[in-house]
Amino acid sequence: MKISPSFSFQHGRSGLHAMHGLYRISSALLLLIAPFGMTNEAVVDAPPANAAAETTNERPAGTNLETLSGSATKSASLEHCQALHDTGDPTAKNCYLELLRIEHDDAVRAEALWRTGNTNAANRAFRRANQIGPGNPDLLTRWGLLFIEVHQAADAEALFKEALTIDPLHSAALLGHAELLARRFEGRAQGLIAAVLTREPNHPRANMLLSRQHLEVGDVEAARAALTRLLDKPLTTVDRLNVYALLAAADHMGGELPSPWTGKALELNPAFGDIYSVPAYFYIITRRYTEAVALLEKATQTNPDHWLAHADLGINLLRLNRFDEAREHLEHAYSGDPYNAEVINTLRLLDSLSNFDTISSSNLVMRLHKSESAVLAPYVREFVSEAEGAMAARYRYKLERPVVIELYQHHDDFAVRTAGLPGLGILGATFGDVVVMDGPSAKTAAEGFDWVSALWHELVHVVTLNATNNLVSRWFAEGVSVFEEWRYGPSPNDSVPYSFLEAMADDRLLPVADLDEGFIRPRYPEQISVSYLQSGLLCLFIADNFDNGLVDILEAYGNGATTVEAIEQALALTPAELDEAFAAYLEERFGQLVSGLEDLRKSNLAAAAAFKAERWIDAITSAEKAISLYPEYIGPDSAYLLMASAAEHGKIPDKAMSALTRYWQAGGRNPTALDNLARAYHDAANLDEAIAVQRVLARAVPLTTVHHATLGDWLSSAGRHAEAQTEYRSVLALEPYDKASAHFKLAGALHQLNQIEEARRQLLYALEIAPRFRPALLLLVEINR
Amino acid sequence: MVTHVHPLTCILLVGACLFVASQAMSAETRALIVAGLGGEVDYETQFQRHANTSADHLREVANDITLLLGEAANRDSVRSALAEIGKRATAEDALVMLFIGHGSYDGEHFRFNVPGPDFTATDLAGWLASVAARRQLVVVTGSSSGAAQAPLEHAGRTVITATRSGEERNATVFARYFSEALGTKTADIDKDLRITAQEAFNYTSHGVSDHYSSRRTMATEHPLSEGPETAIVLAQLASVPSIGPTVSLVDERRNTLEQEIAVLKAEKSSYLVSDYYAELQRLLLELVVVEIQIEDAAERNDP
Repeated sequence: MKISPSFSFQHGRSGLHAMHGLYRISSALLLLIAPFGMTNEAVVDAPPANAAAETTNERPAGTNLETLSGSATKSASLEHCQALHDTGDPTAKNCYLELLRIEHDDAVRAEALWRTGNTNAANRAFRRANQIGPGNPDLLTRWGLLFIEVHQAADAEALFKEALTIDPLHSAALLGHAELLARRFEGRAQGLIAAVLTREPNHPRANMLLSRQHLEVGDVEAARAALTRLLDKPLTTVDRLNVYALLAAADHMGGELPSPWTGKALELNPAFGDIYSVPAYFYIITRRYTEAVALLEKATQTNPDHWLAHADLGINLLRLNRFDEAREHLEHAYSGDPYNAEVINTLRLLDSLSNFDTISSSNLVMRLHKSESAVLAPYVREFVSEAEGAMAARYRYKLERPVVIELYQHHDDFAVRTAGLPGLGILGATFGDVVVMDGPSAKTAAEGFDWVSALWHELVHVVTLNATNNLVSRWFAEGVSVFEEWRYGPSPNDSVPYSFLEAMADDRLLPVADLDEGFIRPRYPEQISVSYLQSGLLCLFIADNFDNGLVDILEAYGNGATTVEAIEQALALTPAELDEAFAAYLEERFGQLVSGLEDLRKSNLAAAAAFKAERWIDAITSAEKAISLYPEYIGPDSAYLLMASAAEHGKIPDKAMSALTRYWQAGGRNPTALDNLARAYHDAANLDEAIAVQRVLARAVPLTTVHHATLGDWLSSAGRHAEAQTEYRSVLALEPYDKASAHFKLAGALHQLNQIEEARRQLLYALEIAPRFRPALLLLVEINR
Repeated sequence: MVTHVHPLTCILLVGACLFVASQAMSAETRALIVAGLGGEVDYETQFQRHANTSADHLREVANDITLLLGEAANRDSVRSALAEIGKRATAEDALVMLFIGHGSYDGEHFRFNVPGPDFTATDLAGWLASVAARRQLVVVTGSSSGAAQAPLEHAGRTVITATRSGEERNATVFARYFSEALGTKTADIDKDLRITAQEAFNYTSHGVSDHYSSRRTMATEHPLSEGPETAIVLAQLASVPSIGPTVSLVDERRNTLEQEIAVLKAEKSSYLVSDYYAELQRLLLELVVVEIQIEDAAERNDP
């Protein structure tokens, strides 16, 4: 079977571009593959699904760079050109062009074309070479590496896999595949690297990949060990440069600066920009964007044609809220590499920001879509003010710079803003002072998205990142945010999803010293979310059992402590002792629940089955049992919701009301349930409770007119006109269908507040639309009396 | 019974407005409401509920209402009903037709689905040829109804359909919002306590759009109104004072004031903002006085 040779990259900046599901983090990952820049001819046609099937004759191919065996002259020429390039010799390009003039072997021509930046022609040359000499894993691997360079990971992966079907132990193919997996932070990469190292302990690329894995989780010494063993081995210039770059990264991560490896690399090749961009990558993944940007600026100065460094610089400047410089570098990256999806998407997103309002004050900059800004800005302002005050007191840290908050209407826009690519699985991200996240129209409360809690979560990150100069560990940063959501956030609750209980039952929780691994390289599908919850519970445990425990850990991180050191300094415990105490806490809190998980599951299933069969009483009974086993649970499949619905169908209003009330009191925020409960309270003349529920509903679903209008009406009935006018202003900001009524209601509230001129203005707006609007006419008369 | 002309219509035809209004005073609104074949119990129930609700609202403004439901809503009875209405209707009358149910389109003809043989939009246009009422409103609420637009096009006739073409073939939610519009203050944009066909259409279009966007599903219907913007009143939200001959001068003054307000709004851009609103307030305060005079007269039951 063949796949179409046409290639899916779009030309020009239109539409979001996905990279075949890959999440490429940084140019730094490419250093292990090819040291060359790309030109604007870099687009490459996809290879056939089975490259070997394209065979046209049986002539064996001359193959890859390392094993070219055609003519010694040709081999020497390619190696000569490579040597020139590796040392930054400006004659290298001419050398390759000369080689192309005299060389007829497609495999050699492919390499030369690749290095002159003509990747499209290089691809065609690889294809021809493969047709002439099929089944050569060296050639397929080199071809795959070309595809990685031009951002076509899926095609690259197919070629590595094909090479491995021919030679399952082919080191270069194993490492090429490992490279792709490592970019996705998939744990399987480690197995492939180990497979190579078992047979070839000093394999340069394998050790470099291994060192990178260590650096990604902050194990500087292990990374150095993997690299230093290579230093006294014979290495190509490229490999030596890459080893230096990783050693420099280790120095940066270990805080041992200046790094001697920088000078050594530049001595070998004065244009070796990766000596800066590789350490920058590790700053990026540890959220130290200021340091990353400084290095990427040096990378682009060292090699002005380092398109990926320009791209990374642009994307990370955006994380520092430096939009103009970011655009400049992104456009430069686009000019040299117009096929980088991250660059295209980010530029397109920047173009779309003309549809956003930027609202600035001394402590806050908000970027909100024009159609939503009037409604959302007051909420965001209120949350930031509340959060800043609360955090300053709890964490002894006051923000020094304005917080920047961007809310996106579409999840993919948020994803591009965050990672350059659509399809990101998170809802919010914080880059120092800059919070970007899904807004309430990107995901709805009905889908389980609580945007106000998510905003609270991110605001906590602003504090923990700034308080530690971004040195806080991942688990602790997430843990404090989750803990804050549960205890102090806008929707406090004690509900832990079943997935965590199951992980606990299966003993899948990680020791605290390794907890970052659960975020960075998950080993089972739910491990990231389980790690969030475990971290949150751990912070809850610390907050409840150690005076100032969280603050002291935060301070320790700020002083440069590792997780082990931070725990020892702040809690006077070893991590193992903390694990033990935490396990006892979990057992006490959830032990009975975990051992009764099967009963809980059966009760939930029985309730659902009875509901489906419309046996309402049975559904209520089973749901009640599930609630008794886990009353705190308020997830989307909460038994409270099922019970309320069954009771409603069964016409048992008291039971429905009771279920909804308990759900609400446990922290449940399903909008339909809140809507029903608020109305039930209102119908029962319990106006205060009705307003309390409706207020939460209007905040959870802020872009729905009716919730604000209803809340405004109830507040007016309760004589709370100042609050009512806020809600009526929200109604108007949402461009309601019946604008005359909205203006009139606002006028009424303003009249009650004795703001006569503003009331008159609102009345005239109403009557301009509807001159016969009798109540508005009468109020106008009263105002003029 | 009084039929009112929408003030916006007067903006366009200020000179003719009083004349039209006085003509309309003596006109009747006649209505035919048909609930088509549901095919399933749920649809059958929905269609009949919407038809009954609409009829209840229309009764507030029309004395001559024919409601066809279930087996009675067949091709022959629709044709006969229109023939009977044709016998009663004068040129000054307004004719409202509401077809609630599924439709289909074969690429050539729109068919409204009823028990027995369906009827086409072309059939309907033919039956309407004998009805003298110059102001006509046809509302077709079902799937593919956009295909009924072209065959029903006629001078003085407004055609409202749930879909913009025959190719939108999914079941629609149009009828739910349309029948709702006839009973809600929210649809009464100008707050004159009456729901005109235009207001009902606007409310319905908004509701349908909201329905799909709030569910994050692709909109499979796009309501369409073709023909003259119609001031035909479909419902009345509260009792309107009956005006006797002695207050007709006051009533005329109200109409004049409304026209002046309409003109002022049309010329808004040529005023300073403060002057514009000062003038608007002046006119409105005078309007209140007139409204109160009318109300007082009605309360005195002025003959």
